Amino acid sequence: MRPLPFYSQKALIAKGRSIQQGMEVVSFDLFDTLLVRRTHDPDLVKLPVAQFISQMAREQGHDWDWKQVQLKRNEIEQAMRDQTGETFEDHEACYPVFMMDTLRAIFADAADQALLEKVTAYELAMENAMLVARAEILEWVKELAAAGKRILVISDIYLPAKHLEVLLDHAGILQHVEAVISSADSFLAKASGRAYPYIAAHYDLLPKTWMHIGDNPISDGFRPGELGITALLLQDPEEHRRKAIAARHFFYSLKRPFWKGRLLQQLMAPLEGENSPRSVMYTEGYNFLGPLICMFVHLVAQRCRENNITKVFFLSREGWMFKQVWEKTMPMLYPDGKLPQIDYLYVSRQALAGASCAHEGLTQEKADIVFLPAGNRCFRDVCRVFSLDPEGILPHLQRFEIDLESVLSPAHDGFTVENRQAFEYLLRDQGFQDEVKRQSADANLALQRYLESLDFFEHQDVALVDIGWLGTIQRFFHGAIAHRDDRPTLHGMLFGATRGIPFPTTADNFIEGFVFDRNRFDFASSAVLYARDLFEEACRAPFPTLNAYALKDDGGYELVFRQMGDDIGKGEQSQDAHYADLQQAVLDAADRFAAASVMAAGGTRGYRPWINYLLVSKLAFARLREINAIRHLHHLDDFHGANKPRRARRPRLIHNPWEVSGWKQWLGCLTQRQQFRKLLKALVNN
Amino acid sequence: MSELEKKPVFSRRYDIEGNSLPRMLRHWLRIKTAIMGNYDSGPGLRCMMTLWLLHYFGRPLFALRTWLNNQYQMKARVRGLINRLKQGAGRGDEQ
Repeated sequence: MRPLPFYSQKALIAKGRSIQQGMEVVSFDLFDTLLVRRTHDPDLVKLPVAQFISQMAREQGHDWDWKQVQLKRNEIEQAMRDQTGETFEDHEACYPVFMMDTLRAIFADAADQALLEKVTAYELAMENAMLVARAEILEWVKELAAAGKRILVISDIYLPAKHLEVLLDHAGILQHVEAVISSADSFLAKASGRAYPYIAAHYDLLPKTWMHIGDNPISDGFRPGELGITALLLQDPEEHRRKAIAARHFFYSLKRPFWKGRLLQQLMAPLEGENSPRSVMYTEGYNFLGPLICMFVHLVAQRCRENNITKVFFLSREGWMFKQVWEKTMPMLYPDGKLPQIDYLYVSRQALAGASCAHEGLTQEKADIVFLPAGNRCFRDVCRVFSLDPEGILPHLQRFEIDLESVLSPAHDGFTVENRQAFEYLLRDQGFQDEVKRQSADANLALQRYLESLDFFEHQDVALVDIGWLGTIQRFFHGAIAHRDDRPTLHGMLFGATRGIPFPTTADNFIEGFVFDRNRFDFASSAVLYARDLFEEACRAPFPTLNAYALKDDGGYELVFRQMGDDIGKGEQSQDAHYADLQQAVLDAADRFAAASVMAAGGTRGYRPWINYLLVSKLAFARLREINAIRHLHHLDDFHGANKPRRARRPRLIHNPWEVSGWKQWLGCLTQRQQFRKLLKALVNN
Repeated sequence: MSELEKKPVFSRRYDIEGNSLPRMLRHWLRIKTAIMGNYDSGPGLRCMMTLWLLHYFGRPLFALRTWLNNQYQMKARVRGLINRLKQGAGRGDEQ
């Protein structure tokens, strides 16, 4: 019987439906028919597995690099195929057998069943991450199962049926299938046609009432046709095209590192049923912010492994997103499990600022930070930021002839040098500092109790992961625990380090920006400065910020969160709803990032050029409708005061379109090149 | 947001929505004319042109390729059948 070729799933299913009435059994080929791979080459899945085996081998003192492991696997698999070919017509191999032999060749006596299971689980997880069920065929399978047809899945592959069942289960097909048949179990394959009589006898099938669907003209077309089985061939040119595009990205990435990031996104892309129509917000979250955040978290993990960091604290509230991305990506990125412990740490500048003054007082540096945002104007703002009670401070202010409303910021009308000098003298006054320390002592003690409950002081090196930008949280945090001898070394890992004020770097307290760092001369990544709030809001947890650490009567601690009943709180809640789709997209992207990364990038080396491209192209040269679609609605800055600074003297002609609206935004989009040049100039001058 | 405004994350051209090849091409032109930072090797015009062909003209090209492939296979089968018949007739003549 001649096989019938079809050029699309639709045409094949239409034909299948027209003849299914007279059929009792419908069998499907598995790969490229029921399931498609995100990669162009199925063998790419083997490479991360070889890397995993090589890693384990090195830990046990066997010097095997991943390429040697892969060669050994190929060699043993081929030997098995040759051996099978002596007895059977098909040259088939069986994964558990040749993989066990490979492991024995590498690990000698240490190779046991547990090791084989570990390797198999990783390989199947990689396969699962790369396989997607074909949406329309899956629907038809469900329909056939509901109509009472017997459904079989037949595959010529080295994985035995029990492994294929894992893949089918993950794709949501297994429950509709009567049996899964693999050539690895019987060594009778579709290629020679031997599988079909064997299956017919084993499952008591009649060729007349048997329909087979597959993609290979020989194995799935002529061979079943020879037996009188109705064969439908799926020859989807669109699938060939998709794979050709993936292949081009892969080969370009081998010679041009720029393409590694693009390949990563090609492999992360949702396919078939996953690729339903989504909002602009979701699309930007998946294609822009998702990859950036995942790459940042991967860079953090790599640094932690290099520096033997034993605990990572994700700082609230942006750390909420980073922690979830970590949890989703790390099992596949580092299957050996050699990763630091992770925890979420409730912090905020507001809560830490006060607690940091208990031992070192209110230093000049800290006071300067208060007046960085133009919204802070006078000593009342200092009291708000450091959670100080103005009543207790007032007598000290009077001694220096200033009051709570004396303007101390040069950005506001009424600023005088005399007031500023008096404020600086005040900071050097012992009486004032003693009062500040007294007021901050409880918050500091509560913070220490909180950290003790998280075993913070049990580690020698800890990483503090945060979005950025000045490193003020870590500065205050270090100030609050600097008096303790058991304090660990703080490795600050920031998404972007703008370093608006110099960070007091010491051997046990330092920060580094992973995506952008002003200390690293990198033009392109500075585009992150266009829309810092976008990143903050995209990563921010949907719960209130921390206001203070309170000491309870029994000596314990309590975390005091901000009340959300006011306008700012309501604004933040509406912002949460506005970005819900975008945050979901980032998490969905993280689900597919890890497998794509180990297959495409082979480490973090290829990330940089793609990060730079994404930032410049999507921020510095963003389209007006993109900006309007993904720009945040509200942003709470607990540090920024409510005072309005004096207006700038000269009106600006070039505007950052992310910060303005109306005609200014339109003008900003027209002058993007000038705006970017201005940013680069500022970087060079700094 | 209406259903009409929604789009798949991965376009029908197998390109990533919101950061497609034309955007990369525009950016390539920018980095060729001004300092824009470090992109390592950059995308390369030839690579982009090949991908442009696949993304934008791939559909008819691959449809034609699959159809031709099928025609070739069919011809090869007919040729094989004729050859087998000829060989069978030859043996008959010898007998």
